[in-house]
Amino acid sequence: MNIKSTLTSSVALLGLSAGAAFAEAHATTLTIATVNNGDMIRMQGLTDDFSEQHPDIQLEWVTLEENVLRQNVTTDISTGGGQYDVITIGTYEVPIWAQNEWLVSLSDGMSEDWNESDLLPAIADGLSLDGELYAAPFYGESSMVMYRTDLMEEAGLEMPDAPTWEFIREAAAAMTDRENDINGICLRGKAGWGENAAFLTAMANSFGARWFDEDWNAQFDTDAWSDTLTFYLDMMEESGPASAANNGFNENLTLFQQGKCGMWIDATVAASFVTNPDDSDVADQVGFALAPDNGLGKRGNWLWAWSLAIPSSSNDVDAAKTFISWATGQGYTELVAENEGWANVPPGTRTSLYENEEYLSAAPFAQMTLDSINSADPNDPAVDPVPYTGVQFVAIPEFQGIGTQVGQEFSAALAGQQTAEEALANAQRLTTDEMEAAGY
Amino acid sequence: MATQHSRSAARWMIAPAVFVLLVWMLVGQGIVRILVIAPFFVMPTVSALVWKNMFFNVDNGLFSYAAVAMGMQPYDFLSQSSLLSIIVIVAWQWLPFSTLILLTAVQSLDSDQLEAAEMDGAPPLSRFRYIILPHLARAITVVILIQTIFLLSIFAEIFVTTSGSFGTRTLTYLVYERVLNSQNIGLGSAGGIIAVILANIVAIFLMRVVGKNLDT
Amino acid sequence: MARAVSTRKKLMWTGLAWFFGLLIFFPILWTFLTSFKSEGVAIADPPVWFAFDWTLENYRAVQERSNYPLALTNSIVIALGSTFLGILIAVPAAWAMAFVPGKRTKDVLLWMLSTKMLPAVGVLYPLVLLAKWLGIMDSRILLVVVLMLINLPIIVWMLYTYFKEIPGEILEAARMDGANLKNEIIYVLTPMAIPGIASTILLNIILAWNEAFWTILLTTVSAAPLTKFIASYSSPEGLFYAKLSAASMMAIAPILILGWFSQKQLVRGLTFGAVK
Repeated sequence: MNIKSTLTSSVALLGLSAGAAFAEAHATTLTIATVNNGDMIRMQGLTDDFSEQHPDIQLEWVTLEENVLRQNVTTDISTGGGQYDVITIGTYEVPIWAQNEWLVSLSDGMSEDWNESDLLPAIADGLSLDGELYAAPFYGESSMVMYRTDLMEEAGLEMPDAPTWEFIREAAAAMTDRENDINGICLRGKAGWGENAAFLTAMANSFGARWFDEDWNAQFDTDAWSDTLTFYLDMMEESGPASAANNGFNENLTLFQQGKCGMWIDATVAASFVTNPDDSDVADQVGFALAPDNGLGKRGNWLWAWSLAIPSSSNDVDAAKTFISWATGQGYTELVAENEGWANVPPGTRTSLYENEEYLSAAPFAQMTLDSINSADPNDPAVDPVPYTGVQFVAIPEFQGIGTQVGQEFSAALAGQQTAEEALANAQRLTTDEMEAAGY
Repeated sequence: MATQHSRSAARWMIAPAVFVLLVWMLVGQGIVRILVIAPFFVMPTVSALVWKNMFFNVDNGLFSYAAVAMGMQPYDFLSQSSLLSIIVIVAWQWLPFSTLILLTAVQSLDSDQLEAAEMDGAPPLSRFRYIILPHLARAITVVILIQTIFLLSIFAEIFVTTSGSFGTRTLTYLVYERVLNSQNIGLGSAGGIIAVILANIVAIFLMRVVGKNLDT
Repeated sequence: MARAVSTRKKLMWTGLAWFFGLLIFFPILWTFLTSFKSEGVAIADPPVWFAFDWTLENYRAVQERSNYPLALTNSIVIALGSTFLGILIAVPAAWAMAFVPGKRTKDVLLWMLSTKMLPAVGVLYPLVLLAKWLGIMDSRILLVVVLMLINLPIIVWMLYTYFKEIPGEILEAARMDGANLKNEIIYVLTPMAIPGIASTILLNIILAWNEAFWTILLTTVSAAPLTKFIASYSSPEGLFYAKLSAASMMAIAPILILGWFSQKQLVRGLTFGAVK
């Protein structure tokens, strides 16, 4: 280890790296940032099909977990970095980023057979601003009740297609058998705007609660919110798992697949996991129902679409549009069906898919997914009028921060560290402060 | 701030015991040493995920199985003892760091001195107290200083395990939330500056207490 | 280690050391076992220890999906590059602070270290804009420089403490014998400081290897190291422990092997080193 050799080798290394960076700056390459969920992984696996059709466009994939992806993409787009040509974002970001003029409109320039009018209206609405579409939905999801048919039968109950919260709570209590490690209901409890805050916001909609009134005043001090949170906490106390306050989607999925949950209300995409006999102990004992309601005309389900969009800083908008047309068009659905079977096509984006007999027979949860999606309205999510769009979120830039902090309060209440009243009072206070600071 | 102190405190109380063992091992010491160093190589997100889901989880973590097997009630570490849980994760990750530094220091110890003490019949504990410990003063100082300050900025462990619930938000975590979640760069930067000032205060305080060990 | 130790004592210590070693290693062992399970078995209740169908499926899936060789190369280049660059700068700095201390040397040292406390995210946007302006986003050289700067305080600190161990009399003696500064550094200082430098290098390589904030946010494809490779396997919607375990083992293995070899070097450096 003498100094000279150290010097030489480091200089060599630097030279090497600089050279590599330079060499890769050419060729028509699209860099695509996407989430590491199953449907996207499948899309990555089908890259060859796209390359055959478009040999002049090369695809580079950056597949990341949701949170890391969001950090990456947000950093890039807000600095105009131009690192990505196609990004995967959700229903929450699209209207905000479109407003900031960070996204390219997809209302023209898409390939001819990419049929915009075929998109599910509820989904397309959430991805539009002033009538222009800014992102193409790759797959859409809502939430619904998944339940164990065998346990339900044992409890002597029958799940209606459209249950009420009261029924869910009764059924949960009846199914719970803690001696045998069976919890009547598993729900999200982990703090986060996309975790428990999303679930509780959707649930609150069906209880007649809302985040803000029309003048952007926080509404956590209302009876409706108090009812929502108290109901949730009581039900989880009676019938929830011990780890509830730390459980997100994946933790609950694990519990359900191990047979430790009687019911689980979560994303429709979970249906294909819990019915997969390779991973799930309970695959042939799962039934589905619409998310519960409280007789107020709104159900407690949400609406989300992972969508492909083009940052304004992209170097090759035309090629990016070509790619998005391929990935979100009807041709892609058929391609997946051919290679992986109809049950594996990305759900929840196109009307035509739900008119396809082959799909309907291959995916027993298809109709329930469609009904759930159609029953959510991002522009009119709550019983009372609201000034925002979004079912389980509020489409303003401040929401990620506020939602996460409110989620932390709810999580602490679920862990028994504060009462529902304290949690709501804290939520009210911090939301009011943040909104004031943000100038609403 | 108390959090971080206890965190590093926990760590450097474990570390000496472990590395002393390491040094006096004669058989297979290379392998054991690599076993002890290995946690350092695991990325923070991964180790936090492993600890959260495979160990701490009250419904299907290994600790729960162990508790049930011994006839005890499973304990929900993450929401009931959140700080302790995060301390355990971070201590596990950073144990190798202190071990490595202290190992380097202990290797330079004059073994004649130790042998002489042993000949004179000094029990192991006194040999440790009066010969080894003074020799390590500087190394221990460095471990405390570097780690205290280094670990003030942990993020992934908190994010993955509790997402800042149950009073586990540190100053750094707050700054991350502000910048990455709320996109409030101004507020986040201000938090960052406060963090630096605080770090300086902590560092000055630490220097007062342990700094004299740095002079020869 | 030529001390006479009774066999029983030796056995006891060895046993105890193995116990602690395995205890500390256990989470990694569990990850290792999980990497050979199917996703369903990985969440089995009660947990399965060894009696399952060992499968390489996860490793195959990871291999298929990601460009592991590129990520590995990037990790190696970034870790080694930033370490060597850091050592180049830190050795003179630490040398000056240890042997020619000024009135404010300790304050400067402390101040350097305190910059570590700045939450990295606070300088995220300025740094990204700077990198964009220089046109070096997603390049190895950017990460080499950034990680070097981030770890520099630690390198300087560690070297400083090791240099302080070197008795000043030896340097004076060398000077008396007419050694100039260059010879002093090469023939007197360096040999004595090798153990310290070696362990500093090792630690710094590990720190750079695991750095998971800048390496993820400043790269896209061509400079993306193993940290970003890992991030594509954690927490998707659906089961992932087995695949994440496999990806983690692939990320840990190279540096574990490096650590295995270098710790032997390290020990040799320590045994033959002149520091007493």
